[in-house]
Amino acid sequence: MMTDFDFAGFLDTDNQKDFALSLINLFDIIISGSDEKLINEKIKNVLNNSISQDFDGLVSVLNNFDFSSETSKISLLSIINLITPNLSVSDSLDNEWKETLLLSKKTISLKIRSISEESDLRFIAQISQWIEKDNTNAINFQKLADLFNDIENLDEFRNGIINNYPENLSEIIEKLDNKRKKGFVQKDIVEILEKRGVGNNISVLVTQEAMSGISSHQLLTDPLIQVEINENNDPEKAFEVMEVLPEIGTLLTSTASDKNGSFLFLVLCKNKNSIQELEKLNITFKEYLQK
Amino acid sequence: MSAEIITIVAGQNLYKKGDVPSNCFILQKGSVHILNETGQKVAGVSPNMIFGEIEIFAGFNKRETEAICVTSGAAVSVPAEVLNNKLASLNESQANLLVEVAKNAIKNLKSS
Repeated sequence: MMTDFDFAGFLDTDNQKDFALSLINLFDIIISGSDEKLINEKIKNVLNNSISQDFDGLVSVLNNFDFSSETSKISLLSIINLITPNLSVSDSLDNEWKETLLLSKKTISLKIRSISEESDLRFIAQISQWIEKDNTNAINFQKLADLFNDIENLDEFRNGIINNYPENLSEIIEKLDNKRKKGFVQKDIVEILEKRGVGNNISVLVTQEAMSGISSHQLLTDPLIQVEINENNDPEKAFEVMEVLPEIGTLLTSTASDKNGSFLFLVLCKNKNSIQELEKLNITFKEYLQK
Repeated sequence: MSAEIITIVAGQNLYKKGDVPSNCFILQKGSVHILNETGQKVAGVSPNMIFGEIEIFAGFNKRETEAICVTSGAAVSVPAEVLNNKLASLNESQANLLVEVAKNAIKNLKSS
């Protein structure tokens, strides 16, 4: 833990300029995929500048740098990203910024073509932050990395990024996020219904739309029935039942039964009295367990 | 505790009157105003200037002024411990001089 700060060294603008340049060089070397020896050389250059010793966080990341670890590279890029553009001398390094920004843009367009892991997206996010003033796409790449586990088709995802970078990354995020939310809710519904004994062949048919206005608690505790109607055997009764069902509760789903001409209806009833209404029609139905 | 770069946004209070002076700053980008207890600007800070150090050097345990960011930017935050160590490394007469200068500076800021 350092408890010193070299004010004179830090406020010496030539020294600060050298420090900023050493950080820019290190950033460039890392994103270019250079070999370990070259990266270590550039790390030494940064550490040799007295200003580096003023920042514990930087020294720690530099001293613990692990060439084989993507996380280590991302951490280093992240701290360079925090320090370099915020130094007062940074704005006077126009040419150096132009060069590094050009390299960064080229690197991003190459890197997005080979995304295969979450860390690839976090790595690109750091380069994106380096070239942007408002961090929009850096944040977008971080969000995409957060959603990486929900990706079903990597090629499709990668192509989506290639086609939508840099303007429309947020569209991909929105699509992925909606899919994730939908999948999550759908999974919950199936889980509750199966807990009550509903077969998977029926529970998976219950849509979120059908669940509109119904809470998980209601789904778990309200009377739940499965009615089977055969149009061929008794068309009139079938019609009567069809009329009564929406009155006694919410129709969660319906599907053809394995018996010819029969249909299954899964209904979440308003209350126990609703079931009595159905009993009056003298039809057979199955009541599921109340949890 | 170590120095760190912090980003600052317009309108942000870096410290207020009565706060414990736990660090000083070196402004890197943007601009900061130092205000007295009536909210009147008593000093302007531009890049590469140090601010927030005088209460630490004077040995005060509370801020006598307020620092507000006027233009967004960045600053280096240096822990008070660093300044205290520097003060401790001075001989008695140098340290006393620095403390008196700091106290005087605070008095001047307050009466501006």
